[in-house]
Amino acid sequence: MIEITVNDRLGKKVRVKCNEDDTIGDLKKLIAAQTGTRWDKIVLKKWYTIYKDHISLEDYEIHDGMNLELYYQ
Amino acid sequence: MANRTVKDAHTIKGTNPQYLIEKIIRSRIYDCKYWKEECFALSAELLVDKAMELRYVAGVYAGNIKPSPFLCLTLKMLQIQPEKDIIIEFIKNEDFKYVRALGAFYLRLTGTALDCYKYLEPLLNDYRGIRMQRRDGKFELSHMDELIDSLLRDERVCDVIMPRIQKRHILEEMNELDPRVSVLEDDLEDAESSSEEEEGEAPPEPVKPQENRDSNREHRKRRDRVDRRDRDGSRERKRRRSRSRSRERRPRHRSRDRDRENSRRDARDRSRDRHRRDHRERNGGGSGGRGGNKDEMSVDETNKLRASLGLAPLK
Repeated sequence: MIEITVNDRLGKKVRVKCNEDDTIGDLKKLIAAQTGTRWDKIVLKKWYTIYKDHISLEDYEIHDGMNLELYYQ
Repeated sequence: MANRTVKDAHTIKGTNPQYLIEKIIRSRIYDCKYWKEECFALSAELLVDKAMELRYVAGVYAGNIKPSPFLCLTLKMLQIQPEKDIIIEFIKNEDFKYVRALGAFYLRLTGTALDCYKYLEPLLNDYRGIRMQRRDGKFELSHMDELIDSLLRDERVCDVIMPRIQKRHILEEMNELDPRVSVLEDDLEDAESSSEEEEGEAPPEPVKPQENRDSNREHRKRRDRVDRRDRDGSRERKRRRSRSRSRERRPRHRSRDRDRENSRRDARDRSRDRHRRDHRERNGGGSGGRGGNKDEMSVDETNKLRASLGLAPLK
């Protein structure tokens, strides 16, 4: 189980617990449940890298305690 | 300049018609190549030519939110606001499926509930296949009637929020619409009669719905009676008050010791508040604000959420 922090720099900062083998899509659904937006409106980025929905956190090498940037579409 | 709505357009739902598409997606459409190259200075006639070149129905796709030509043309139509006759022509034409789909989409966004049902329901008989592009960029096969059905039922189609329309049965009750007659009506009757012959058990069906209705009514009455009973807060207050108007019952001012009564009341209120606060912390503190803005969820709550989303629990 890892814990990831997601921040949108406008006041929403959320800590989400998930497994390493979850996909980014699953992570977006968990974030959506905690922030209240729809999961398909969320875009997770790190600098200019957009994280794609069908790839797992393991494959993106997202580890415990990492920060991701939360944007909206 | 090129992105402003035409000057004499009517407002839709009280606002600029282009605002039916959300701000972020609208900005992405204005920035995309298709819009800048193809959708510049389009009029209604040129729009028809562009619509005939459409090859699939889609919203936005890919990680960086690329809008599809279908969506760009929809925004263009919202910008130039063609007349209703033109839209009806789009819908009525038989040759070009995607022109029909575009007209149907535009009508659902801008038309009244009555218009939607009147013009879109005949399209439910169109069973031709259409190409749809998913969010990840891959294509899939769908059908025209599936698209129309989702237009009439779903909240979002092609990443655009659908305006609310009234339910069909409400319009039927107001006698503005006839009840829907499906083209498959005869086929369904044949299928029902043949299955009845096989099983030989027709009677149970009409009896059951009535039984349920009566038991529901009783259950509802019982529940109302229970709910009308007052909850904790006012019980204490009610005990003291008597509704009788006779003079003996009314409190006699001379023998009342107000200070003692006030201090007793304050003590009672204080203890009640403390009791209530403790209970609330114990029950609601851990899970307050779930679903809204929540900074962190415990492992149990996360597992419950994961179960509701269909994911495996945390390892």
